[in-house]
Amino acid sequence: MQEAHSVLGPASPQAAAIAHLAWIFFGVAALVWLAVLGSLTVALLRPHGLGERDVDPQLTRRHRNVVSGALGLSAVALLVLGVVDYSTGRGIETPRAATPDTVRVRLIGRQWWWEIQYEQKTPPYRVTTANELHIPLGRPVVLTLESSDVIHSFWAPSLHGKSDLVPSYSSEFVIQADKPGVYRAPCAEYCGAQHAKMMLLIIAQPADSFAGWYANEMRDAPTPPPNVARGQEVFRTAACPFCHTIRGAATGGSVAPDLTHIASRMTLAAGTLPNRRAELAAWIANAQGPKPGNRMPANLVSGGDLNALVDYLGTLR
Amino acid sequence: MTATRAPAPLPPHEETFARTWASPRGVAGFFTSVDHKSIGLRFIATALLFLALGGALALTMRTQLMRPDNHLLSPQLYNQFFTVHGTTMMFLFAVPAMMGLGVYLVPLMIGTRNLIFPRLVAYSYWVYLLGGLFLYSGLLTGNGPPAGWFSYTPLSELTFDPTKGSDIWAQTITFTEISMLCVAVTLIITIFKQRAPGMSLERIPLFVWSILVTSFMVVFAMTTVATASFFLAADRLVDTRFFDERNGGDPVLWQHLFWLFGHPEVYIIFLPGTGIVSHLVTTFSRRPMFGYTAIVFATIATGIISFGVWVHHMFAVGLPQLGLSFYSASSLIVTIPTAIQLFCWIATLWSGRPQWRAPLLFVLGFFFILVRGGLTGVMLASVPFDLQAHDSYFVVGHLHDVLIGGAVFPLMGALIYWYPKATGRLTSETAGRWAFALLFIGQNLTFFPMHILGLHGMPRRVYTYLASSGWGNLNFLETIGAYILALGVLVTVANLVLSAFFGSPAGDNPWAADTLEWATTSPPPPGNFPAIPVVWDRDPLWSQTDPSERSVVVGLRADRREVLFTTTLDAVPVRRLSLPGPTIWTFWAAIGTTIGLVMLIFTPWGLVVGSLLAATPLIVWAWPKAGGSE
Repeated sequence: MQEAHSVLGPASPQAAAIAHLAWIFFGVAALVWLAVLGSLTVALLRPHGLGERDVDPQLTRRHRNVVSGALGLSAVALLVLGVVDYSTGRGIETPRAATPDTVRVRLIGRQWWWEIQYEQKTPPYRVTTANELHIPLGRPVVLTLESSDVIHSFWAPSLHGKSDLVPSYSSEFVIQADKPGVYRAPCAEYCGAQHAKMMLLIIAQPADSFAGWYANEMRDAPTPPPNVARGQEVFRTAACPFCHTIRGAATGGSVAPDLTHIASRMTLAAGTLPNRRAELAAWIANAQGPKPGNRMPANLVSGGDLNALVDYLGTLR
Repeated sequence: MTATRAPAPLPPHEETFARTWASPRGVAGFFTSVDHKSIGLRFIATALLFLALGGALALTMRTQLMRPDNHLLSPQLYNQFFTVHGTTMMFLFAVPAMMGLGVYLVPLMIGTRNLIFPRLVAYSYWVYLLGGLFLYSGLLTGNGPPAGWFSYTPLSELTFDPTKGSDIWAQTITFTEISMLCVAVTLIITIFKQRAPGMSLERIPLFVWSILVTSFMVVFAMTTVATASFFLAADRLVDTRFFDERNGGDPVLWQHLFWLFGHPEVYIIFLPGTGIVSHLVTTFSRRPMFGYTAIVFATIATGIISFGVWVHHMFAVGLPQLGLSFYSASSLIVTIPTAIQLFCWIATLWSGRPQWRAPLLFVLGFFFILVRGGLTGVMLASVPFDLQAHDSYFVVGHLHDVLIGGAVFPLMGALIYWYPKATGRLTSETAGRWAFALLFIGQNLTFFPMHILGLHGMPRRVYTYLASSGWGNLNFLETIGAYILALGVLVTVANLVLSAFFGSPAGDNPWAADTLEWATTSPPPPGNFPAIPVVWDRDPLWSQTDPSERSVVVGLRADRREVLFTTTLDAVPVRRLSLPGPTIWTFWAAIGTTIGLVMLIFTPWGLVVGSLLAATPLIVWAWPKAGGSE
């Protein structure tokens, strides 16, 4: 599936409004640029009748009129652009009242991954996942943006502009996708060593497949079949649960991505690697290789244990 | 002390004059000189050195980004490189280069013999140089600042940067702010009080106007960032928690303080560029500037409005909508004064007789690139569009258009244009044209595609990108462009160095220009003007073409470093003033300042030690001597 991340390829009403505005700006800017450079070219290439240092009062008067006219035009153009711009801004503003079909998600920026918490009014009240945000098509999704460390910024170019995730502040941002697809949302505020590898994937899917995904996501991890039970034991006894949680298997820390349904995700480490068996094993063995500086420490799992662990994680769909 | 039209007025004691104003020779002279010309040239040469260093960092980064998933630089090193690149270009290259040009040119253009506080300017050069070396010593010892040239908190706080990197960054800022503030204050007073008799406000050369407005902006903007960098250093050193949100501080406060400086900073770099363009346009179209008064008011208006636009760097932070609209509107309005200047230059060229010399080519490059950068700037003033473009490569393209087109191109033109004044020799016209061609092609090839990349979702400040992003081809093209740009800088530097030996002799006024710096010899003697010129109009050398018939002031003493004080508005002579001569104590004061600021990254006692070490030489240097002003 082609992953989209373009300002000029909008897939939502907000991004479409901004793309429309952008094209107006590009058009006006191109005209102004051509006019300025054109008059400069004519000024330089026209035959010059005056002698050195002479001033022709009539020409000066004409210049004053032309320059004043050009200034007036510029002011009018700016005013028009300002009005168009302001009304576009009002159009994409975050609506205050939520509609009944609104999906509410807390999105927490962390160095260097995204924690995602779906909020609902019934138990378990909160469903936690990481780095891949599934949303239903055509419904507004209210993101509550927070940060647990430094400033990050949420930016899905095909869906909307940016909104920063500032520690101690909490802000709301509404997105919506009208076309199914996978939209990239790289962190847009410089946030340290691995700012470059902090990608959120937004998967927009039709209502029924979203419902299916969500129902699965609510469930705890299944009891492992006997052939991979050893992997679960490795997970529990190694250092993993200090930071990671697998609901139903090992309630651990929450400073690293929740792994309850890790096998259902497309990528590892916030878009760094494709989620395949070999990459997962390599990542666990040496996370500092593909993403130097990230917070996952070296660990002592290797050989048969590593194989068992990867087999087990592969069942967590 | 009267203005005369006496033919060939020789100063009474020309030898005495030369002896009085001469700087000591050799090594001692290097450390003690207070001649604005040697200090100004040092500022410019040092700034060009930092341009080369910052450029080398940029070239390495571009090589890293040439293809996806490249491994030339580690993320840590890449992040230090872009931090030091930005810090270098803004604080160690652009502002010192422009202010250095002001230090060199202003006294010559307004017809005086030295700056009002020559020792303060000598001191500020050493502080600037030592501050720049300090930053690079950090990078070389593995302590390069990693938090970006904007050093956003909390990323730059101790929790997230436990290295010495951000301390070094904060102190580098303090170094350069001390330096630039001293220079700005000196330039303001010199321009107000030391203009040649008759050079009333409406006859001040436009470059001097731009430096005057810039200096005022430096006074207000640099104090803001010096406060911010001091707060940050204090947060890190003594746990003051100005920006620590968990203890009542606020990380967004940093952004306000930084951009309240940061946006005027752009105009601090750009306005001297416009001043340069005004002179190049006048000289090479052989026409007095059309709309002089409009340009002066546009310059002042830009200076004022630029202090009201900083929030357009913060549209995505989540501030209230109404506030954003205000800053959006002011960011649109700030383009009007620039439009005035552009139209006036075109009108001047329209009626003129353009002479196709290398400096004029740089003016054309300025138009081509700056107008583009200005128009993308208008787009960024729009809140909705900025929410998309902000912190993407679109902004990288925009800012390099504005800064390279608006400041570097005029500066390159200025170097060629005023080179004969400083050295007595012309640069090579052929080399100048080659340099222009390379810089022009390189700039466009490097920075135009960045706009497209930004619109296709490439964020800034990334050390690498995935192959699947589809950004590889344009990045490759940009890297080629960066190498062409670097080649252009090399040709320029070679041209400047070689022309000092092989350039053809220039004479006093090789371009037949109109302003006072061309009235004295090339290079000017120590003390610039054995006889202070008198000005009757805006283009003194065009109305008084015969050097033997130029009006001068007589009656200043030659055995002291005397300058003429004139009134601020009309430049009517009011008194003579003796300026101080060479001293080594400015150097020692700078060393004391440096020891203090460097110690401060380790211990608060640096404040005590540094104050004492800087204060002692300051007292010695300012100790009154017998025979002051009259």
